[in-house]
Parts: sequence; structure tokens; C-alpha cells
Amino acid sequence: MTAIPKPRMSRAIFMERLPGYAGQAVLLAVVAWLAWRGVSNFQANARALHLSVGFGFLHGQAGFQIAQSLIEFTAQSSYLDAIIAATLNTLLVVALAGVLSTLIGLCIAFGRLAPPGLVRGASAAYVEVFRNIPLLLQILFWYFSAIALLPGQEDSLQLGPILLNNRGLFLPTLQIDPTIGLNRPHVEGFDVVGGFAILPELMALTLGLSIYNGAFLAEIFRAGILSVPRGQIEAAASVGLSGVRAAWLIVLPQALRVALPAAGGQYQTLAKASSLAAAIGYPDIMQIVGGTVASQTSQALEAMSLVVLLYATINLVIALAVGLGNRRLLKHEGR
Amino acid sequence: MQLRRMLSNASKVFLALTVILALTATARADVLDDVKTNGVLKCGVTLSAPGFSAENNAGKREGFDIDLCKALAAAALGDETKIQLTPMDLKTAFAGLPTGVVDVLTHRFTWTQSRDIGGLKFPKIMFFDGQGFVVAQKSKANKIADLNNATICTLQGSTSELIVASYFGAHKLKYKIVTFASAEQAWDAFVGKRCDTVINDRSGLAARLAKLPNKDDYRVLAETVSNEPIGPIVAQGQQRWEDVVRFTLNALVAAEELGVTQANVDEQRNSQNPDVQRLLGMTGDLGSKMGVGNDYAYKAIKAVGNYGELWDRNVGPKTPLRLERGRNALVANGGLMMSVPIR
Repeated sequence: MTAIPKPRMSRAIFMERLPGYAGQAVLLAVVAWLAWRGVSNFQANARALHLSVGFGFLHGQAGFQIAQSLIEFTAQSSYLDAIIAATLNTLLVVALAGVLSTLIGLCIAFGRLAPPGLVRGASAAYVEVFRNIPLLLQILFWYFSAIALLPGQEDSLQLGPILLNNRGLFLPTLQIDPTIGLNRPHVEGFDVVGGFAILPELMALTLGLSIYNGAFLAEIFRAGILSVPRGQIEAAASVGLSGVRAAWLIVLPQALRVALPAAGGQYQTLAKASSLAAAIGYPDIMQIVGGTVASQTSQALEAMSLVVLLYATINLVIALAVGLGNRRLLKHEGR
Repeated sequence: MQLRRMLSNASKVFLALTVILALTATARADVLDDVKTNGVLKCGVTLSAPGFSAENNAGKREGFDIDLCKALAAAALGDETKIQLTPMDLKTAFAGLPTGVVDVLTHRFTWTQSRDIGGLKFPKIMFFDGQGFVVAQKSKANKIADLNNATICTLQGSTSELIVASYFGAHKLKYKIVTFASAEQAWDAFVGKRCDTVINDRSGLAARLAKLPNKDDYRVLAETVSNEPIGPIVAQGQQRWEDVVRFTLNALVAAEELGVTQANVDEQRNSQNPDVQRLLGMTGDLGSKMGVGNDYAYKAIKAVGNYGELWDRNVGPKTPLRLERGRNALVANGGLMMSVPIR
């Protein structure tokens, strides 16, 4: 087997491209120089101010508590544990609100395309109202009205084994020890004991983010649906597909192709907007890392750069997922 | 084509360059020089704490912390109106001071070891506070031990968070905590019964209660769980500026000790008392050695009065806060407040 010789670039082509290469090299050099200047400048300034710089503090004992944590977290846990717990809390609310706002968006999008009438009007009103009110205001509204409307724990609402009051929604959990059965939440003194708690902060934040982003997603999905040629829908009807099946099998896959890139941007917006959690006391990245950790350790610059890094990573992952999904959609069509 | 592409690259580089240069601009050489060059003193203040830093009905910010800012401007610039107030929360304040967004924080932050060695310098304690708990009047809790399993609302990143953790831990009490970005929201959540109690500096609790129409529905538990020494903050590594702040604040206390008030400061300049003469810059050169006018203390006292006057005007018994001097009384009156010798 003989190796295929690599085609050599002709001298003429190389000469033509030379200014481009030179430009890129200069650009690279300038960027590298600026980065080096920035870092060394920062270090020099920190030295001049006698500031201790670095991430050694992450292994120190945090000493505070977190209202909601998906991992075991006590006052003895480290700052690193606190950052992991906070990141998981952000991911939780982003995932919940992502799913919920997609469902809302789909319902409202189809609602806006329904024949003129109550459904269509209500859907249009939904979009216009919730899209045009600042998100922070909506989150504060849901939170403080939830607290105001829900009863105190002395007179909790009881729905079977489920307990609802202004300290949260308490669901029963399965317990194995000491006897197999339901661990029913019940009020004991200042506290609700047993079961699994969904805090009002999580409820309000999920609700606010879902309702707001649902309004934007509805418009994106509507644009996607409208991009599907009418003939496709008529063809689906003529082969006897029901309305729902036609929507699911014919319209949605084609609509998604148009809607996905824009929707991806909206999910990224959602992830960033989740940082408004700090306003209502939901322990997310912004609150725990940018607030508590930054102030307890006085390593504000390090903590803030961690916040930047975490949000950037979450958003890059979302962008990657949307990109992969998009590529799959296009591949299906043989493009 | 090539040229155009290169030009567009060049413009991108230029943009990146401006952004990066803005981000990594060299540290401030000397804050005192900056303040004098700018002709204005930039103070970071708390967003809203009645009596300390809050807007009055005319929309003008006033209070104890604002008066400290005015005193510093009068000392450094000779004019207490040359101030620029930036309301900051904890995050922006601690990041903004070392980077030069503000020159000084006349705020409500507690002096702690980690803050101090982390680059925040507290030239003088101007308020000895302690933390307490407030509960609803009809709450079952009469002492902190009764708060076992209670839900506690507080400000995120505050010393309160750690105090709760250590106090409840040491006394084998359990609790749940909900922390908010601002003290208002923590307080609103408490009033909305999300929490059984709020922990804050006792002065802060008094300030909040003063604003409530139904303040009799709440009570403050008697125990004080911490010491909270509070005072203005300057960035580390600014010795000249730190001195000016430290001795302007001392001058306000020294004025009260010596009986110098806003009203009599002009005639006190003719006082035969050598302590008063040194304080007001009639003898000696302590002011000019620090890089400000020799009459810096005179200007500061003329602008806002002495420490006692500051107290009475903003938070004292005749204000809605109704705070007694307590441990903030002068040492001569059994309190903790004193000036270092002005000599």
C-alpha cells in the first residue's frame, strides 16, 4: 500500500494567504500579551495590597447552614461542599423550570394557533402579560403572595398524608426503618418533622421562572409551527391522522428544526435568570457562593470568578446540548 | 477582502483591549490624593437602615452613617457637601472598596478577623452593637433556648449566619435558616410568618421595628448573643487615608469628651485648654502631617457635631429608633466609647 502524498500548497496560494496568517499570528500574540499583562497586573496589585490570593480557602470549614441541600451538608462541611450544594440547587431549579416552561410554552403556542375564541385570546393575553413584567417582580410576587396566602404551620392544610403551609410543601416518604411504611410529615413545636420538604422559595422561583420563560418559549414554538408549510398539515389530515397525532408526528418535528436554536438561547437565559433566587432566599450559586462564601472568607474576587465560571459552564453545556440536538434534527433530513 | 477582514479583526482587538485594560487597571496609588484630585469623597452606604442610612421624605439620604461620610469629606476636602453616596449590598461593597469604586464604606459591617486580614481595615469602632432575636408578640419563645427547631430569617453573608451556627451548635439547639440578599426581604419574610424569628444587630432590629405601624406585635428577646464592633472600612495598604479616617472619627469622640459641640466649636477655638487647642488645630501640626488641613477636626465637628450629637440626632431617644447610649456611652459615663489621645 502506498501512502497518498499530501497535496502541497502551491506557492501562489500560500503567498495569497500570507497576510491572513500574519494577521492571525499578530492577533494571537496581542491576546496572549493582554492576558499575561492582566494576570501579572492582578497579582502585583494583590501583592501591593497584601491580599492573600488563591483557592486554598475552599477546604476550610464553612460553619453556616444551607436551607436546602441535595447532598449531606452540616455546619462542619467545607466551603467546597457548600459550592457543590449551591450548584446542585441551581441545576435543580433550572431543570424543573426548563421542563415546566417547555410544557407551558407548547400549550400556549398551540393555544395561540387555535381558531379565534377564548383559548386563543387567553393565550395571547398570557404571553403579553407575563413577557412584559420584569422577572424579579414576578418572582417576588409569587414568593410573598405564597407566604401570605398559605396558612401558618399551626393550621396547615392537610391533604391525606401531604402537608402544606407557609414553611413548604411536605410530602410523605417511604421509610424502611424501624418498620416499613409511610413517614408522614407532622407538626411538632416550631418544626414539621418527617417527610420530604419542598421549600416555598423553590416553589416560587420555579413558578416565576417557568411562567416567564414559558411566555417567550410559546412565541418561539409558534414561529416554528408557523414555519411548517400548510400543505404538510393538510396532507396529514388527508391520510387520516387525528389533530393531536398530526401535531406530534408531522408538525412538531419540523417546527423544532426552526425553534430549537432560538429555544436554546431561551434556556440559557433561564439558567442565568435563576440567579434572581438570591432575592427570595433560595440557596443557589449566586446566593451561597457570591454572597455567603464571598463575605465569610473575604475572598470576594475568587468567589466571584467561581460564580462566573459555574454559570459559564452551565450555559456552555446547554449550548452544547442544543447544538447536538440540532445536528441530529438536521441529520434526520439528510442534510 | 483580506484587508477588510484584517480591519474587522483589528477593531475586535481594539475592543478587547479596552475591556481588558479597564478590568486590570493598576491599583490606586493613594486614596487620599485621589480624593483631593477628584474633589469628592465616595462613600459606600447601606441600602436602607432607618437612622443610619435611609432616604427621608424629601428623597435625601440621611442618618448616622451619612454623617460619618460628611465628617470625612469635611476633614479631607473642607466641604461636607462634596460627597457621593453609593448604596451597596455586602457583595458590591466588599468587591468595590479594594477596586476603588468607593473610597470608604460608612456602612454597618462588623469588624471581624477574617475581614481584617482579608484586606478590609476598620480604623475605629463607632458603634458597639450585639445581635439579638425578634419574635412575634404571641410567640411561645421567651428566651433563645425556646427557639429549638425554629426557622430563622437573616441576611446572607452576614455575621448573623455564623453566629446562629455557633450559638445554636454550642447550645445543642436545632434550627433552619433562610437567608436573603437584603435585610428588607428577610424582614418581609419574617413579617409574612415564613420564619419564627429574625436575627440582626439590635440597632438594626430597632430600626426595622421603628418603621412598623404595628410594632407592638413583636418583641426582642432579652439575650444578646454576640459582640458586633461596627465602624467605617478602608482598603488595606492605604496608610495615609486610613490615618485620616481614623483620626477624624477619633476627633468626633474627643470633641464630646472635651465638650466641643457643633454650636460652640467656633468659640472653642479660643479655648485655653491645650487639649482643645490641639484637637482644633490651633497648636501643633498633627493635621498637616497627615496630609490634610490642620483644622480637619474643626471642619468635621463644624459639619456634623460631636459623637453624642450624631447619636442623638439620628438614633437617640428622641428619634423613632429610641436607642439608649448603653455601651456606646463615653468611658467617663460607664460605656466603651473613647478617643485615643490627640497628642
